[in-house]
Amino acid sequence: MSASTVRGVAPAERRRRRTGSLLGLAAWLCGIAFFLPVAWMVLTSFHSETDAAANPPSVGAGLTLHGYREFFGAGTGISPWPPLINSLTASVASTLLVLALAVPAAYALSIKPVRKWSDVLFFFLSTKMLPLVAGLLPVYLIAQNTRMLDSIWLLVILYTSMNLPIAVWMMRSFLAEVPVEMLEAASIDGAGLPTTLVRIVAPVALPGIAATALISFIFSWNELLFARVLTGIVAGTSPVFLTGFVTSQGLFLAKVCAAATVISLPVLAAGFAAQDKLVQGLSLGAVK
Amino acid sequence: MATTVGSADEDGDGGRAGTDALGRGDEDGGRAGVRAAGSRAGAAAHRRRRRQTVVAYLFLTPSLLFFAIFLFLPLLFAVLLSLSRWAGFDLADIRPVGTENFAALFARGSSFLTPVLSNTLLYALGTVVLALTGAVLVAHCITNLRFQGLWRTLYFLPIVTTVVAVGNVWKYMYEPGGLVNGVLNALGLRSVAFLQDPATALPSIVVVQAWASLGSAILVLTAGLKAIPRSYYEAAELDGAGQFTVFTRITLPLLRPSLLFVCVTQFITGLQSFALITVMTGEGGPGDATSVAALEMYQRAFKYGDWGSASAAALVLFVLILVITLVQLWLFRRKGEDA
Repeated sequence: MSASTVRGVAPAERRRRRTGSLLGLAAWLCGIAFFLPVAWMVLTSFHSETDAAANPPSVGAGLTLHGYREFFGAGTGISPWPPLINSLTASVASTLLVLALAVPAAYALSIKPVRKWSDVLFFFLSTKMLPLVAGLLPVYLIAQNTRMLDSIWLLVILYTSMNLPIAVWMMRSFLAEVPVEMLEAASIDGAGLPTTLVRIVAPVALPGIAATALISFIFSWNELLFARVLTGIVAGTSPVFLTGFVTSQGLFLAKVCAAATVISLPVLAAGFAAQDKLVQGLSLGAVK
Repeated sequence: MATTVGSADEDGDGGRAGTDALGRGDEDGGRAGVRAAGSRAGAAAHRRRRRQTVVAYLFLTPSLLFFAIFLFLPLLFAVLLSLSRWAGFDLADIRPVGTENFAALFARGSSFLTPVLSNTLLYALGTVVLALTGAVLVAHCITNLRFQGLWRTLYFLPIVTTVVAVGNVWKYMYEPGGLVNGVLNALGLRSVAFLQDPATALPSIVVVQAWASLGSAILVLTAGLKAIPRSYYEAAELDGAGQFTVFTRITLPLLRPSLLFVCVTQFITGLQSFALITVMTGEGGPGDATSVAALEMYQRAFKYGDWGSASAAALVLFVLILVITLVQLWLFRRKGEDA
């Protein structure tokens, strides 16, 4: 392992290290540029309106919670709580529904008894190819005729069908890690399906379920299109609220940045809480 | 052979034939017993497999039913709509018009082919090229860096930040007095009216879309890179291969499944997404410089109440996405056979 260090630094090795550190520097620069917009948003949200509007941007200006106070209703007269609660309801309910549908489906696909199981899997993925907007028109018309417009439960159903394919895909990758031999052994020992699921599958699959739930939560929370078309005053979600907020308060940069930060916060927190699992879940489908 | 042995037995003495028969009989019995036990176990396995199959179908049915009701019925309805004219209020007012809506989309002077469809293709292509090139470079760089967790966190940010927030932040940054022009001015360059100039509006949004999708591409590619056995690189190093050769001969070919995944998913997203565009330019302006197919469809339905032509536009977009996806799958597979 330490052979190369013992051997000393060969010219090739030195060259490689130099290219390596150059690449490293490039990566750092990329990373900072990458991080900048989000950092700017958070920083501006803590500035006063005059500092926020300054050009060139005032990085060192004093910090204040003014923008946040304004956002939570002190200056605009509109409470952001109903849309936040709507978003929470839609995201949590659709995530639960996604799990209830995707986990059994993924289990069925991972034990592979269905002939042409890979076709079924591809079918799930192919539903991602349908332009969501193509479904939006008929859904809007149906909702209009069944008086389901401006109802949070319509969004729950739509978000479920939006996230189901990726959830099945992710869960299958996680469940594929349950050794088939273990399932067979359990079956030979006379374990029924519930026992097998609880004792063998669940321990391996729980982190995967958590990751799938988070992905589904994040995508639902951030969805704008369906929410904007299908909801109004009653069931509007946070992205819809934010769009309206920008239109009416767009000149007040600090306030808008505070709003954007608050609305991004739940997903950012959820994302950081389970980074590793999310990364694993998002990338497994591509590698395996 | 067997027949000659048989005939020899016939000619030989009965005793030997008897023991032979007995022995063979015994052996047959034994084998039959094994076979019986085997078939008993086989039957159990068969039962188990059949039970599994039943369970599998039971488990799959809810998801498939869900799709049938909430995805395919609406789509069928969309096909029906695309072949009719309807203002969108009373279902009794739907009038079938055949392929008139499609003909109108592709008629001479229609804005659907150019600039709308060409914008859509440029938008998707620009995003994929930028995001993929960036992701390959960055993923290649950061696999050898320290602070992997920090890097992942950085690239994770845009994925989880709401598109409304991201779009507005970039919109502010692109403004004449914004951050980007501030940097340009500091470098001694003139200000650019990024979103107001028809020539720069679409590329400016492409950059944001690429920025937003770079993160997930990097995550997928990093995982792909980790799956390449280190021994390949060690062997290449022993053979004296340079970094570039290693990259083009080992990294890229072995990364193909991940690249395919990123390419296909990013293209699908790029071709059908317009949330970022509406956030940044409202209705696809200036003029129709940033008007894309999905946005056009949205406008036709919800602004002009022309549901028939909106559905037709949606179906054209769907076919386009399908064709582009299949071409990519075919290209990647063909390359795979060559290698």
